[in-house]
Amino acid sequence: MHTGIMQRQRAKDSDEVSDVDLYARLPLEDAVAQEALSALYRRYSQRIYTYCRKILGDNHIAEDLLQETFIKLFDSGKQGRIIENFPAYLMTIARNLCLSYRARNKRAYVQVEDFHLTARDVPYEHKELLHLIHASLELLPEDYREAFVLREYNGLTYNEISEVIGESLDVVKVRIFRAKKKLRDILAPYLSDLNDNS
Amino acid sequence: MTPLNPDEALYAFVDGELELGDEQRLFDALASHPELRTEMKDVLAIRNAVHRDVLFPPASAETEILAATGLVAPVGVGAVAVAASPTLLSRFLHTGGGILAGVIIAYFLFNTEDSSIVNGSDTKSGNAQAGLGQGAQSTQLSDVQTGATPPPVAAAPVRVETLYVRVKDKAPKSVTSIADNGNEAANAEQTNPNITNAAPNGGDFSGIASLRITTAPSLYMSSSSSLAPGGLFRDTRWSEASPLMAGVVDAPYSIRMRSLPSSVGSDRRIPQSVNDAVLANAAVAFLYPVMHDVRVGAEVGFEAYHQVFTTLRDGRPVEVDQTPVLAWFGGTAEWAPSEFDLLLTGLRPFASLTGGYALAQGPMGNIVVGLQYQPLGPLRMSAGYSYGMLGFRDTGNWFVSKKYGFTYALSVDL
Repeated sequence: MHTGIMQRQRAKDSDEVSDVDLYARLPLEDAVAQEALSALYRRYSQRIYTYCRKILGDNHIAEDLLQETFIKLFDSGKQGRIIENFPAYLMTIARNLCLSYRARNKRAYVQVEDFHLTARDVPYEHKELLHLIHASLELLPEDYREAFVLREYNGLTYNEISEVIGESLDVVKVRIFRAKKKLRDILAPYLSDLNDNS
Repeated sequence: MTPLNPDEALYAFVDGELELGDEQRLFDALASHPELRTEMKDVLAIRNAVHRDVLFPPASAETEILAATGLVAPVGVGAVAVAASPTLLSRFLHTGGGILAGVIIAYFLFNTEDSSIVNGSDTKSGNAQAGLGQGAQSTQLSDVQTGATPPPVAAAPVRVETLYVRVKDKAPKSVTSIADNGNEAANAEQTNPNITNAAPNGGDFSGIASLRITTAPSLYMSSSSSLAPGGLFRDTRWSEASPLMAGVVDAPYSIRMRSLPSSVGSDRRIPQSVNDAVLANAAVAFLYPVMHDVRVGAEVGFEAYHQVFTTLRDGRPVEVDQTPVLAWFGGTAEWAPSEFDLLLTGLRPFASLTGGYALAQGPMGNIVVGLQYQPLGPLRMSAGYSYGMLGFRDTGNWFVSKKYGFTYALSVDL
């Protein structure tokens, strides 16, 4: 039990450490490195997984790429690499892996069953709207979709997105604007009905 | 810098990226353009919906990453992934419930057996006449050839509607039905038109006094092979009794091992949980014969079920996609009519039905329909198509997972 308390305390401590400091601990001894990697995983796994899932449309591939992303992160940390913007760096690793995967496997990524939602707790209109958003995302050009996912699903700022995708801030702004505008135009009739009913 | 148009300003504002100097222009535009206000509502609705759409990686992903980096030992082979259950007691009760259901099914099926069926040992002990005149009676002539049992004679009025004939070489062409017809003249032999098998190989019916019955009942043949003390041999029986009721006594126990559909499509990567399991989709059953060609028993299996559902985590809807390998226990019933021979001797249709409880998950069941082949010997091979369902709970809601696919089985009669 004492060990459990210590572990929880260590986890709490590592939660208060900055991303860059945790990353700097990866080359240290195994116990410290494991703790640091676990803390980084807790912070970013959901975002990386969501990004891979939304870009590639397959849960299992997203899981694979999530794993690869953190292994690459660990390897780079072991080499003592210095980074300043950790979220952008991590997202860049994930993005490059997704792009490589997509280049290797050119096919339609989104599987209909992946959008099958069954939760009774989610209001029906929300489920339906999510279905429509998923379907509409598929209609967007890949660049626009990526910008939208990084902004809305990953919560990155325009500057961070610019860093991740290696494009200027203006390009990012335009892509996000056009992605959202196109999405809204597609969904406008449904949203109008939704607003009228509510 | 070119000032943003109201559309661009609106989207930048929603994203928190609008310059302070542009905000007032946007507010002015919102005040004077109702369509811009509608657009803002729509944008916020989309944003809210997207923010509810949270995805979490599987719980095992972190361990797999740590193992891949060498920071922790890999997950042990054979791990069975199951969802959390409230208490150990509930797991025990659920598992016990599955077994109990199987036992109850077996009990009721077993108790439908007609007590008037008399087996060979009853004949030997002279109980063959018990329950005379009460309809379907059967006795076994398997011992006639060995002379162990005195054959019924005309002087002793015995009505025998069913004959079991054990032949070691060839099946009989005709089966002698022996019946008491009151004071009618006896010692008549009738060839049953329903029998079309080959001629008897010197079948020792000559010593059997027989009576003609005017309405010869239909006879059913049942075959089974077993591991007898003297080695492998196949029993062939003829029975007039209901095909569901005859041939029970000598039918052997059996053990059935079978595969189950994988629940992982060929276009999908095999999940780690399935890779790690020693028996990802297999089951073994002990079966007991209760009716003609019907066996029931208990079965235990390990089975992967692909589960995709949306649930709540910390008040937010989360899509879960997992393929746990579940342990389950239950009852099973198998039907394989041995009187059928499809193209090959011993090739017959079969069906099985299984119901039980998956540990820490919920009720499950599957049905299989296919073909069974039993060449000479105690082995029966089956192949068929299976459809299975699993009910499971998460945060108070029930979900259903289904799967189907080909399955094969090997049964050994004991």
